[in-house]
Formats: sequence, C-alpha cells, structure tokens
Amino acid sequence: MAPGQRAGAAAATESKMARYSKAIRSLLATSLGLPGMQDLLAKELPEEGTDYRYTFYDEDPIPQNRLAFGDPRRYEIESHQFRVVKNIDDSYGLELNFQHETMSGSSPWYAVPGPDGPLQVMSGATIRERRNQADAGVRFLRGDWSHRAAVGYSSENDYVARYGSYSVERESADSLRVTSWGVSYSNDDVTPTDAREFGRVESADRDALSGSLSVTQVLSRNTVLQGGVSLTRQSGFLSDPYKLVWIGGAVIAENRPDERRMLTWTARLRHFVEGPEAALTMDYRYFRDDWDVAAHTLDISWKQPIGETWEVIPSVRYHAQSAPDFYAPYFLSQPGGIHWSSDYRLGTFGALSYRLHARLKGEKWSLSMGAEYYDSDESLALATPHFDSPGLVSFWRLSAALRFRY
Amino acid sequence: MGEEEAGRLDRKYSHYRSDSWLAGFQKRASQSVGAEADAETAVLLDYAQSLFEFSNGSFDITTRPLTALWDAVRAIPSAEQIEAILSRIGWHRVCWGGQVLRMPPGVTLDLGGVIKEYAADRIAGLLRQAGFKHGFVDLGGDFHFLGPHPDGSPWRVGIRNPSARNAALAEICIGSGGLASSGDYERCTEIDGRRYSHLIDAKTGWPVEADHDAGLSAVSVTAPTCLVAGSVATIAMLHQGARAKAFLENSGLAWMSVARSGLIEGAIQ
Amino acid sequence: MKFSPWWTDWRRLALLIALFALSACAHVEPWERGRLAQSRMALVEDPLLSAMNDHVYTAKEAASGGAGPAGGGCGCN
Repeated sequence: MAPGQRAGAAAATESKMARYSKAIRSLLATSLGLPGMQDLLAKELPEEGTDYRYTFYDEDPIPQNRLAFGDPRRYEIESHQFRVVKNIDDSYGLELNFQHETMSGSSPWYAVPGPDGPLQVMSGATIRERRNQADAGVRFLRGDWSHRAAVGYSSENDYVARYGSYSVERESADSLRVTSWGVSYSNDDVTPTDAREFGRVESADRDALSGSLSVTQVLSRNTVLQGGVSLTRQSGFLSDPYKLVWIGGAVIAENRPDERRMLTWTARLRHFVEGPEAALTMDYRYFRDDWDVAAHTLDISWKQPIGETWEVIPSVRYHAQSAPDFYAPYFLSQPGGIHWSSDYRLGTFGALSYRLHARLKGEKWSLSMGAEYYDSDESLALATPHFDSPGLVSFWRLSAALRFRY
Repeated sequence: MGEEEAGRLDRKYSHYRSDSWLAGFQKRASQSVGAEADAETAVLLDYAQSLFEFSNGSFDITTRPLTALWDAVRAIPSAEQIEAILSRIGWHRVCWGGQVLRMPPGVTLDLGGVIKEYAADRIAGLLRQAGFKHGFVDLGGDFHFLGPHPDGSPWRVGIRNPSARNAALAEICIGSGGLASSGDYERCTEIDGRRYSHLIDAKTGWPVEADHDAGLSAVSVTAPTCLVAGSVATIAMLHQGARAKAFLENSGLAWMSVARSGLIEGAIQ
Repeated sequence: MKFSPWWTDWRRLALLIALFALSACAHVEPWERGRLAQSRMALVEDPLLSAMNDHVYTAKEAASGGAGPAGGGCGCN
C-alpha cells in the first residue's frame, strides 16, 4: 500500500509509535486491552474483495502487401481473471489469483526479402490453446513492516511456469515514505508442439532471478512519487522454439543468447488536480539489457470522476525500443555473430496505444469497461530503424470488470 | 449508539451515583477477600496504575476525599487535616495484582479522570465498527476524530481563551486520533484571594496553584487515543511549569500549552 | 554488445536522487492525506488490469518488468 493510502485510512499506524516515548507506548499498550481500542490503533491490510475481469484481445491481420505466405489472421485471445482478497485478522491477509485464457490464431514465423521490403511468413496452423494460471499470496503486517510472499503456476500445452516471490515494505516514522525490497524467481519448461516434425528442440528450460528496490514518497498533499530499480537475470533456453530465420535462402531456427541480464528504472507519479478533482498518473520505465535492447515506456492517464458514481479514464501509452545486433528480419549472408533472430518483438519500433475506461461505482461494488487500440510501427521509434518489420502488430483490446468489496 | 455507551459507562463507573457498579465494587474490595474485576475494569485499573507510576505518584485515583476537602473548605486546610486524609488514601495502599482488588476500608476510587476520555474512544470505536470513516466524537471537550472531512480537509477545533470566554485562543487542525485538554479555567476554588485548581497532586495533598504567571492554565494533547491524550494533559497540568514542558516534550506527542501569562507553547497545527 | 551497468548510468541515477532530495521538503499532516487515500491516487488501482497490461505488453515487446515481481510466464507468440 502506498503511504497515502495507509496513512489516510487508519487513525494511527504502529510506525508513528516509534516516535512516542517508551512511557507513552507503554500506556498505549496497556490501554489496548480495553474493548475497542485495538480497532483504533490497527494498521490496515489491503481491502477485502473479489474481482473478475474479462478481456477480448484481437490482433489486426498482416496486411496483404506485407504477407509472403501463410495465414494472415493473427491472435485472438479471450481471458478470464479472478481475484479474491481475504483478511484473516488484523495482521494476516490472503490473496488468490486465477486466470484462464484461450488463444487461437497464426503467428509470425520468419520474414523473407521482397521487392519493397521484407515480407512476413505466417505459420499456417491456427493454434487453439488454453492456458491456466493460479497464484496465492500471503501478507503479514508487523509493526513498521509489511511482508508478502507468493507462489504461482502457469500451464499450457507447450509451456509450464513456476514462480515465487517475496517482498517486504517498511513505512517511515512520519509515514511519508515507504521503502520496498523484493526478490522473485521463476523456472519455466518449454515443450514445443510438433517438435519432431519441425525439428524443434523437444524440451528446454529457463529460469529467471530478479531483485527490486523501490521508494514511494509523499511529496505534498496532492502528490506521490515512486522510484524503483530492478535487476533480472534470465538464463537457459531463451529463444522462441517456433521462430525461424531466413539466412541466405536457408531457413533455420532462431538462436538467442542463453543468458540475459536486464535492468529497469521506473518512476511513477500520482498527482491530484484540484479543480476537476481528478488524478493524473504518469508511469515511466527505462529498460536496458545486455543484448543491447534499450526501451522507454511512458504511460499517462487522467482519472476523472463525474458525480458520485462515474469515473472516466482516458489514457495513452508510448513505447519505443531499439533492437539488439543479432536482430534482422532476414540475413542475406551468415551473420557475424553466433546469435540471430527475426522475431519482430525484438525489432526497433515504437508503439502508441490509446485507451478509454469508464467505471460505475456503487456502495460496495463497481463495474468497469474499457477499450484499447494499440499500434506499432518502425516510424514511431526513437532510434533509427534499419529495417522494416512486417510483423509489427496492432490490436484491439476490450474488457469489462466487476469488483465487490465485503 | 454513542449515547447508550456513554450511559453504560456512567452507570458503571460514576462516583456521584451511589448505585453505580463501581460503588458496589469498592465496597466489596474493602472486604478481606477483595473484589474480582471484570475485563474492562481490570484494564482500567492497570492503566490507572501505569499513570500513578508515570506521574511519580501525582496522579492517583484514590484521592476523592482530598478533592472533597478542598471543594468544601473556605480557608486553607491545616496540615493535620491534609495529613489525616493522606494517611488513609493512596494507591500505594491498594492491593491490585491484575485480577482482584483489595483496599483498606474507606478508600474509594474516582475514575472521573479517565472515564470521559475512555468513553470518547469507546464510542469512536463502535462508530468505526459500524462503518463510519469520517467525523468525530465530542464529549465535553474530549475528542476522538474518526477521520477528516470526506474531502480530506481536517477538523478545526478552537481552544478557548481562559481569560476571554468567547474568544478562541488558538485553532487546532486535526484529522484523526484523540484530542484532550486539561485546564483549570472552568473550575477553580478561591481561598484567601488565591485561586486553586481542581486538580490535586496526590503526593502533596495540595491542589495545583492557579496564580503563578509561569504556571499553566491549560494543556491540550493529541495522541492516537483520547484516553492517553487526556492522561498526558492532566499529568502535565499536575507538574506545571518547566517540569511540565519537559514532560510533554519527552512524550513525543503533539501538544499545546497556555501559561497564565498568556504564553502559548507547543504546536499541534 | 556492451552492457553498461546501471551504476554507470550516472545521469539517470543523479536525476532520481535529485527527485528524492526535493521530497525532503514535504511536510504533510495526517489529516491532509485524505486525498492520497482515494483509490484513483493509488499506485495500482486495479491489480487485474495492471497484471493484464503487463502480460500483454511483455508478450508483444522486448522490454519487461518494472511493474512487480516476475512470474506468470507464458509461451506467448
């Protein structure tokens, strides 16, 4: 919980007690035995409730003039997310998340040279897959400290992920700052379908270890700023087993390095604008890794309440990334290094997405609906793209969610 | 709901009512076998014990006879009169082990110094349980603030000017927690041209003098609970002067004091 | 392929430190935090939407993270 939320919610938090003299704390402690006193002094766990969200995701097909061959219809995904938060007592809380997704569509395979630039080859198969994911977390409050531990599992026919995380937060004595440390680990197994027929690796694994640090500071009665940094090391089989690369006429499996170290810097601002009583949110992320990918992402939204029951939230997101040296839509001759990939997701491009969400709020429930249009293009990049990427995706995402508070 | 709770506490602990539960409890406590305290009373007695220690003996819930004496006299009581009472009362004469209370006959308990603040906290707690997140409880100057105005702005409380009844001396802005004040501008006894507060220091048997310029005429304290705020304010008034200031500063709580000279110290705003 | 470690990205580090130095000027009373407690001011107002955004963008772009603990991998194509 952000400092503002915690401080605004409870009468006094135990962290303020650090300022009181021992005698005062002892008096407060003595009086805690009186009925009802405990309520007045307790620190708060996150709000209890149940959430459900339905998402429909639909990618635009590959334009005819950029298609080499294959099925141009791209991914369509339907997702159901459930979340339950329940507090056991004043110190312990439980969170359960469950997600079920069905995906179908063809995906980019590799690109080939064409008269006006690279052309995309799509997989002919329309895959229909299901994915299930579940995770459970426990929150524990004690004094100034708030701990959270979680484990999770995701499974689909060709991919299994297992992950766990632990994080701890500490609120400063004046309740204006929260410092948080976290560590997480995941271990995934890939078992691509039709491995033998297509000469794919039959089974491989990868893991990732990540550490993060963030500080959230209340700057004024209207503003909160969070800054964070995280470092991740991924190792194992990091290539996409389905993706191929055209090299001088031959088509072979892509080959990415078997290690990747990633760094992200993030800054998030929440600012209350007094006139319209709206909140302005800005999230910025700088990403850098040892594959030489660099990316900037900026997400800005305006949360405007309308009366007591409605809230309208327009938002925009801009993302720009630059490609690693081993990326190209195709290679005319053997590339200099030992790694190669033509996965459009590694290319140099920029993406803009526009969203609009609306929320209807009741006493203990809320209903929200949202739509997003995302478009990526080489011309939107900050760095100079060296190639056209015919596989760059654009999509629509529509969703609706229901939330209940106990 | 608040009224019910206030009424319940009054019926249980009032020292004015001869039919209060406390009256019966006191009588039983003076018997050799003692009286067993219920959970609520047990904690209140523990709390009173803590205050007795915290104030080095100045705050004592057995001092009713002293208060009665100073209320009734027209002239300064003689040293013998005071000594006679002091020899009969005192928390150090009470046997409280946490469950059973034993007192010498004639010793009475006066919880007036804590019950009003405790009631404010109790009522606030009940309101919060009922779902109220904004508002406050005001029991004659003892407050517990549940939460600020719905738009986030604080409550503004005026501290009355002791010398000009209708003017506010200062304004305190508070959003949540307890606020209590102790002052003698309301109830003072005048004897031989000097004014004496209604607060009696149990160690000396004498009331706090209300005339010195450096003396405090009122103290307001904020704390997570009104109970603690009130106790700290009362003890500060009992200490008076520089000792009170040191006491308040060491507590780590936000406080404000008004000296008889008019000097305002401390800051809650 | 050079990887310059974060601690040599001194410009970014300096900017973040400067931002936090500014924050030392803040003095916000407990009653003033009501606004910050409103859900629209939260860092993560809707955890399911946040998680889905993370999932979608990570699956379609090269960058990842910055939003929370790692996990929830998928073989997204």
